Amino acid sequence: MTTAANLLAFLGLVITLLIVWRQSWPARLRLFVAQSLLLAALASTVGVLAQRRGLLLVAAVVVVVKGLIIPRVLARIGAGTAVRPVAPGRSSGITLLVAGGLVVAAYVIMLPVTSAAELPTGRAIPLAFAMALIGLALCVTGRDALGHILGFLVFENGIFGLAILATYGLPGIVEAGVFLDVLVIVLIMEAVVVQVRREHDSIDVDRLRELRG
Amino acid sequence: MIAEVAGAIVQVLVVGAGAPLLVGALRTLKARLVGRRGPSPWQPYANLRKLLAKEAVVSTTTSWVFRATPYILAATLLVTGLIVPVTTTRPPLAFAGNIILLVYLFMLGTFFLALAGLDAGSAFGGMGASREVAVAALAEPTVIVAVFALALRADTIDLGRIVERFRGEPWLAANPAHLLAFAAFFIVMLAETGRLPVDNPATHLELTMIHEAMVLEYSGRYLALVEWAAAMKLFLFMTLLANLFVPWGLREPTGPVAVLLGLLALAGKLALLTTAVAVLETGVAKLRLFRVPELLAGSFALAFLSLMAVFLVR
Amino acid sequence: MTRLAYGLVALIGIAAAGLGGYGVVGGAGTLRLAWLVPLGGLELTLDPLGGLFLGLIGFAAVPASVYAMGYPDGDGRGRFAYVVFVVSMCLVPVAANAMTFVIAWELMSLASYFLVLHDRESEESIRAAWIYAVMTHVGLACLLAGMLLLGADLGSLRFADWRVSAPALDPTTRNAVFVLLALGFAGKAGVIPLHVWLPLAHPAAPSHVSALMSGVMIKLGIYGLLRVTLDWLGSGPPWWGVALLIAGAVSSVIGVLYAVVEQDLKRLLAFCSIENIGIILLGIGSAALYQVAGLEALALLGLVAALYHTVNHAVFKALLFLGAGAVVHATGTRNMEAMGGLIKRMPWTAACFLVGSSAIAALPPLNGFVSEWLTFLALFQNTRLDAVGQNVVFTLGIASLALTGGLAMVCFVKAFGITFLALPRSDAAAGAHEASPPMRVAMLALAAACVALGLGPTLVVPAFGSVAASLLRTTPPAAGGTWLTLRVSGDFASLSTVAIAVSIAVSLLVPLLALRLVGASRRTRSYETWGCGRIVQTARMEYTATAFANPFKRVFDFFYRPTKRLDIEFHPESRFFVERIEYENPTRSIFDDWLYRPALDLLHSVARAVGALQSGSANQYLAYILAALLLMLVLA
Repeated sequence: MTTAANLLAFLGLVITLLIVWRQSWPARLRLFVAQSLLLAALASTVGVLAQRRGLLLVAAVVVVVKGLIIPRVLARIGAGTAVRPVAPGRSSGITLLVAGGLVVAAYVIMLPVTSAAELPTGRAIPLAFAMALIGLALCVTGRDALGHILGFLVFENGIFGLAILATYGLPGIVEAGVFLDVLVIVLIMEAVVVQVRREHDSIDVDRLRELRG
Repeated sequence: MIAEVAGAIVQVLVVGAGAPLLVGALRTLKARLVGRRGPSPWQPYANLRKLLAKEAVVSTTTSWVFRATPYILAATLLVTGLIVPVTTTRPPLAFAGNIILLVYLFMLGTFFLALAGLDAGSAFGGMGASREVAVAALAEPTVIVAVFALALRADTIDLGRIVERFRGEPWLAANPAHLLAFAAFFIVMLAETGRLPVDNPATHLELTMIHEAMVLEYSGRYLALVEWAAAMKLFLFMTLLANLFVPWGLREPTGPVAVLLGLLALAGKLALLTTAVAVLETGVAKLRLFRVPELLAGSFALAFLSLMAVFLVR
Repeated sequence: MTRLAYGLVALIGIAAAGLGGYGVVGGAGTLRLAWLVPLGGLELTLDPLGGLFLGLIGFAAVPASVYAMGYPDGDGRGRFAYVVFVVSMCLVPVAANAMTFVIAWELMSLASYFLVLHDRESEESIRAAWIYAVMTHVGLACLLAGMLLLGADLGSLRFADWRVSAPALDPTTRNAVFVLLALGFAGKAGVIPLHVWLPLAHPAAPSHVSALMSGVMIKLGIYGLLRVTLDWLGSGPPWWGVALLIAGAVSSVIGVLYAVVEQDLKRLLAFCSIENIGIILLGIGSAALYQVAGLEALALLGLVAALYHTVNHAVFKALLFLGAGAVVHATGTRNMEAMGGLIKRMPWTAACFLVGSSAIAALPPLNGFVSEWLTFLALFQNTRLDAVGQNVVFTLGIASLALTGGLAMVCFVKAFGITFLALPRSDAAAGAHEASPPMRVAMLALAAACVALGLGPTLVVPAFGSVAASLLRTTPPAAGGTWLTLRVSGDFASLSTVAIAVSIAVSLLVPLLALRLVGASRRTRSYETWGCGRIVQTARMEYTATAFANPFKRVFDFFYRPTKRLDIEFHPESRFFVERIEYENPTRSIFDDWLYRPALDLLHSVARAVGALQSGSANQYLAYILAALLLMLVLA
């Protein structure tokens, strides 16, 4: 189980870094789907190897919600925005460096946890946490509303992976609640973003600067 | 009981009847000092009699406050006369209060007099009232602090007993602080009774009057009462100055002899004081009104120094 | 409906007065509702000091409510707030734990805020209410901080527990708690320099509310100061008493200095309240210092003087505000420069106002004189203290008390003289009507109380003495003197207002009789005031309020910093003729210029600097979240 967990978590981190690197939103979306499928695989692996049947159900839900429904909603949100950002102001170099720094930070922060608990999946925990932190960084550097939502979803993925690796899955109620929350958030964001685009013809976040007090 | 009532009556008579004489003597002395013959010392009595015979003219703008004030003023001064140790060291109303009561009784009179000045509705009355209360308010701290300095050294606040203590232990009085308090009180006396250099009692020019401006509207019997009250105020202030700071001659009221001796002593001291005031009044010119607070501040400083001397020397 | 509300408050007042009286004479009682509010529940305890203040509130509420019933065109807007105001004020002195106290305090502040905001249209009203709300909540913050600090250190929020355990606290905490609580209470009491709200809020509120605010609400600040200095924290270091003395001296002098130059009648009364609070503080400060030095009898004297003055001030200030309200109602203006001659049109109001003015100017034999006399005596006897520094402070206290006594007289000569005497200065004043019967009844009752408190110190002082003794936890002083004379500190001094009153009455008769005996002329002729030969004597010849205060503006110009504005409109044809002259001589408040404006400017610049954080960029805000999360994870 250790090998499988490490491998899957590592692949997930790589995909996250690719998300940071790619600039076009359809590509990012596809990478997000890949990440979600990877996490479903992780969940099923842990479920089978640690004999938690519930995790198989969770994996199935992940595939449906994060692999199918949410990407479709995100595609609707993104429809109409340029594939690549029009003003090429920001390179992804700095963001990659920051992501690297966050991985190191994740290792440092998670050190006491991994050394305390003797889990077979222990070595992979920092990787999942790094995924969460990089998701937050994505949020921070997001250029428009879609970027923010994507960042949030990656963060959520990371937390989900952390939960699976650290506690072999959260209680059913919690999982269900989290999934519901994420779904609802994305749907609401869709409505909001569509409205904003209708009003202002753009969902660029820089426009928010005009609201200074 | 009878003796006390008799004592009270005697004190009232001394104060009431002696006050105009004091004013008259002061006027005569001032006149002689500048080379005039001057009026006779009994002139104020004649003035009062003349005023009592005249009809009073009361302005239509005034109210009952105007007509009541002369009586209130005279009443407060009579009551004050019963609290100050005039001829004995146990004045009849000594139990009723002390220096604080004294100061505030004077203020009661000033309060109503100022109101009467405003009541007439003329600019003179308003101006006199405004100036008079300003001087009175600024002089009050000095009186209290100066007498407090005395009270501290005598270890009692009752006026009669202060006199007794100083009389009994003269070395308490032989003190520079005592002189400072005397000087402070002297200046305040000049201010409160409206003598030069604070106020000229003989002037009727609108820009130089203080007390006279307030009472400008009074005539006839009202003016008689007001003038009599002013004379009593001067008498009482001088008595306080004389008896508190130079206590010899006053005794406990053990009988008519003691009262008589006290009266003689008082007369002598008042004569000296009157001369001093007359010389001073002849020598200095009236201060500009807005220099008066400086003078009063100076007197307060003297009183404060006197008090500090008590604490530091103890 | 309006009358019902005010009648209800009057009844509450009577009940409170009764309960308070019961508390003063030694009755005690407790009421506990632990479930009502968190952090200790609602707890009420009646003890002598609380009973005294409760009685005072009740006693003052009755005339105020009766007066309010007499407003002819009474709009019932402030009814509910008024009821809440009085009820919450009644709860403050009997509160037994911090929660109850703070809730009652805040209710009182909120209710009075709405009452101050009575006239919702006027800019001045809104500004006054705003400043009042800010200052009262700053005070509340200090109070909460102090109480919670003390409660956290002692482990309990009940006052009884504080009494027992606080003396064992370490000095730094005790001093910090004292400073916080004292600041909070001093702000409510209107001590300089936390007084800015008082002269704005009291004139803006309707008169019966101003009477209660000035007479009773600021006394609750005094109640708090008494508890903090002498009760909850035990006996503190001498600098507490010195600080109170200095605050009292400064407040009394500065308060009356501002009052003397005021043209607005109600604002003048508000500044006079600050002055009287200063006098009360002189008494409390002296009591604290004597208590520390172990001179119990003198501490009792100082405290009795303070309590007596508290009660007296409530009575005569309420009377003055009610009178001022009647005047303002009759003439439609608060500006004294537009009044005059009202004594002929409103004789009852004028007589009551005269009694109130004489009382507050401390003229014998009324009540103001008695309490100032007691305060003087408490200050005089500082020679028993050994520290020269304290002696100097006491002497400054005596000097300032003497100065304010004189200045208060000036202030009220002006207030009464300009408002009521001579000729009316405007048409409104010429058309004034007398106050309605309920208003008159209220004012007469208070005037009678002034006289009674002045003539009956021998009956009242023992009651105050026992209250003071219970606060200081000593034995009450031995009854001094007879019914006629009040004796203080053994044989040190004595006072007999009854004798004075009788003597004055008799002496009033003496000249009357003497004049009759001597055969003085009894003829009186009515004529115009002498006008230097002018034909017509009009109201324009009278002295104005500004002019009356002019000597003070000159003498104290370093304090007032007056500015002069003179506008002369010349006749268009020739500069030798003048059409109009407008003269203004306003004073500037040094507290506004040196304390509040710099503080507000600092606050604004700090706010502007912090405002740079609000950049409008969502990314930056998210970055803040990320940074905070990382920081928390690293530090945890």
